Amino acid sequence: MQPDELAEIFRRYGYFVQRRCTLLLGNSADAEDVTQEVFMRVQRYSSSLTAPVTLSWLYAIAARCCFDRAQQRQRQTPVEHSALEALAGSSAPPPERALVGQLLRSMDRKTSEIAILHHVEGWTQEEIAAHTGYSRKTIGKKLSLFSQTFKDAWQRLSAVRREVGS
Amino acid sequence: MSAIEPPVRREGCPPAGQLEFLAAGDAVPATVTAHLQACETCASYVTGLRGEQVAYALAHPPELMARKLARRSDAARRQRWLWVGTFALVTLSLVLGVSLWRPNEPAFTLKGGSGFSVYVSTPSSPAPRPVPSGARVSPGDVLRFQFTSKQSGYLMIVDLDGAERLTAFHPYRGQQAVAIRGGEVHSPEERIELDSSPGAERVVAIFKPTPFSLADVTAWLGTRQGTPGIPLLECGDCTAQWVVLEKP
Repeated sequence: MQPDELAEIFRRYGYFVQRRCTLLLGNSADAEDVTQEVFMRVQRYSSSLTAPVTLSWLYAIAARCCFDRAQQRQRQTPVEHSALEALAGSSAPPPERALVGQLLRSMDRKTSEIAILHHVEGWTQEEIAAHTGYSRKTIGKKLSLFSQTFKDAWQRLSAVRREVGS
Repeated sequence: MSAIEPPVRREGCPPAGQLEFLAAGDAVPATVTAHLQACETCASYVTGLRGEQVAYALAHPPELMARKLARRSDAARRQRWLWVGTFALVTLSLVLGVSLWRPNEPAFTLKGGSGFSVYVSTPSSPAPRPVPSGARVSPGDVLRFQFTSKQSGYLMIVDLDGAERLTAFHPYRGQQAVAIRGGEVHSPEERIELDSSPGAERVVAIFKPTPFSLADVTAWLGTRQGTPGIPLLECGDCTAQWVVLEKP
């Protein structure tokens, strides 16, 4: 892939990829680095590409890179107290999405993939089934697992917010 | 990077992901494009994303980024080759090391995880050196032994000299086999100085999971020959490892 082709892909998709990485990693420095990693992979795989680059494909690579990075940083364990504290004290818009991002890092890949489509991209279960080929039952089970984990973490987050606020 | 939030999905709205694909210029179903005409919320999300996309491109000039990525790719490729080279070098060293390594092999070893070594020191060469079965020794040479077994059990080292006399070397002149622990190197303290009696010294290490005595060994040693010069030792579940030392 020629540098100008890569530049064009980056111009078109760089923002979206970094935005997704920021959501999944919850850390802009890591997100910027992983975004570059995503485009390096695009360049590496360019010779074997049979279809044009799409944002959907880049999102899939980004999710993989983000989870690899999270694994490297041994942040697989469910939301830590310190992370909850950071969220609770944050002035950013509703922390639900940030919490979703944190939880995604602690789930298995299939659950993460389904949860991203549902909670981040806003797909319905039927749309996810049509898009991924997973059965409705699998999607339902994975989303229910994710929701339960989210509920638990949300309760803990609320408790920490009360502590921080008091 | 600002955090433009996706709109809450209402009845008839496409998923936020499809709005992002549309904002990035990817193909989306015609219904999504048509929806934007009627839904101000979704339209404003797409417009917001496009605005941020332009701002991002200004802050991260794609041409500069492409050069940066190329440099990173080159560095990563060099790093990969460095790892491959290091791995190959280490592997080669290990292969060479293993193939060239010659430990002090026991003079005679049987299968089953046990080994028996005989060491000889001479007046002119006092450092003990392992000797294989069939080695030539002289009167005055001193023998030492080493035995290893994976299992715990009982050990006796005996000698059958040229005159068919049986002598316990370990425990020296003892009557009962010595208990040894599995997985450890057993180095008896005995130093046996060879006398001038003629004929070969046939030294055998007998290992058995249960206790036995020199009298048992005498009973096990039949008159039948196993390999030439070595009598058969019929002792059931024991192992017998012979080292024959030729004496002038």
